Amino acid sequence: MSAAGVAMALYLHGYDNVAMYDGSWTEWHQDAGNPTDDLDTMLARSPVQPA
Amino acid sequence: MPRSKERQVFVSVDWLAAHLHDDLCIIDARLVPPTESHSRGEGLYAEGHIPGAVFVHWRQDLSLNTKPVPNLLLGPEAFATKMGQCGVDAQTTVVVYDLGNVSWAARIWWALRYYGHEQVYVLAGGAAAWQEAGKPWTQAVVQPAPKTFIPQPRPAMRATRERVLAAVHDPATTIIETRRRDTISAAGGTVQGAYWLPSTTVFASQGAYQTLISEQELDGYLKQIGADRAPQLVAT
Repeated sequence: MSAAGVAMALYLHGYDNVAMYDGSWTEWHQDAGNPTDDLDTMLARSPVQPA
Repeated sequence: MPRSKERQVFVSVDWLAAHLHDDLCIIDARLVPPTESHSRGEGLYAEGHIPGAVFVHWRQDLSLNTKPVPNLLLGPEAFATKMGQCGVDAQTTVVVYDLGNVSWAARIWWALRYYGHEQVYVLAGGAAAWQEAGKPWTQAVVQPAPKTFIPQPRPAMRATRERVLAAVHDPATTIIETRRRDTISAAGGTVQGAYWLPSTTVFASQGAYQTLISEQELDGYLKQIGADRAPQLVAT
């Protein structure tokens, strides 16, 4: 449901090019073949944000 | 990109209070996180809710809960049936509220828009702001007159697993991971190449509820992850 909140904020911000993936909590991690990054790798490329 | 002035997502507590007797569909979408009891939402509704509201449980009413992938959005026919039972047709203005944390209400906002419904809004501050303002509260349960909801899916709003797989190797797509840090860790990671912009950053706590951060703050984050330049975004 967090993706929906961000998608909604982006819509309000003028973005019409947002697709939401509603399988991230379940589907993505059920197949070990799906490419993933670990938390630290993701954080390293992402902006610093409030804790 | 500036916040689009012609777009409205939220309605205020005062607006809803002034329109309670209009022909609205008010949806109570209050739920607790999925790690807790799923029945709490109905319990909250039974204890009290905004007059005229119907309770909709995302997981029980609007999700496909079949293995191996639960919690995906219902298909068009089943979704239309549920919305029709809630009294929603193409002319209906829908207002959704949750606890005030902009989570489940946003999910229903997205689902209705995905199925082509334009007139859907989220109550700013949710039930917390409503009660804080001392607005009417009731235990009366309404039975809306059934209507016919005709779904008109917008495939561009939804990413399938195949689409996410393609996005991983597509420089034109920016993938945004919106979950909390601990959830990502527990799941074993995120989609390869995703940038972190969680809903807990985009919506800041304001007392008992959460509100959207400023235009400038959001713009700053979006520029840092290249979302302002990406032809396509995937929120996951």
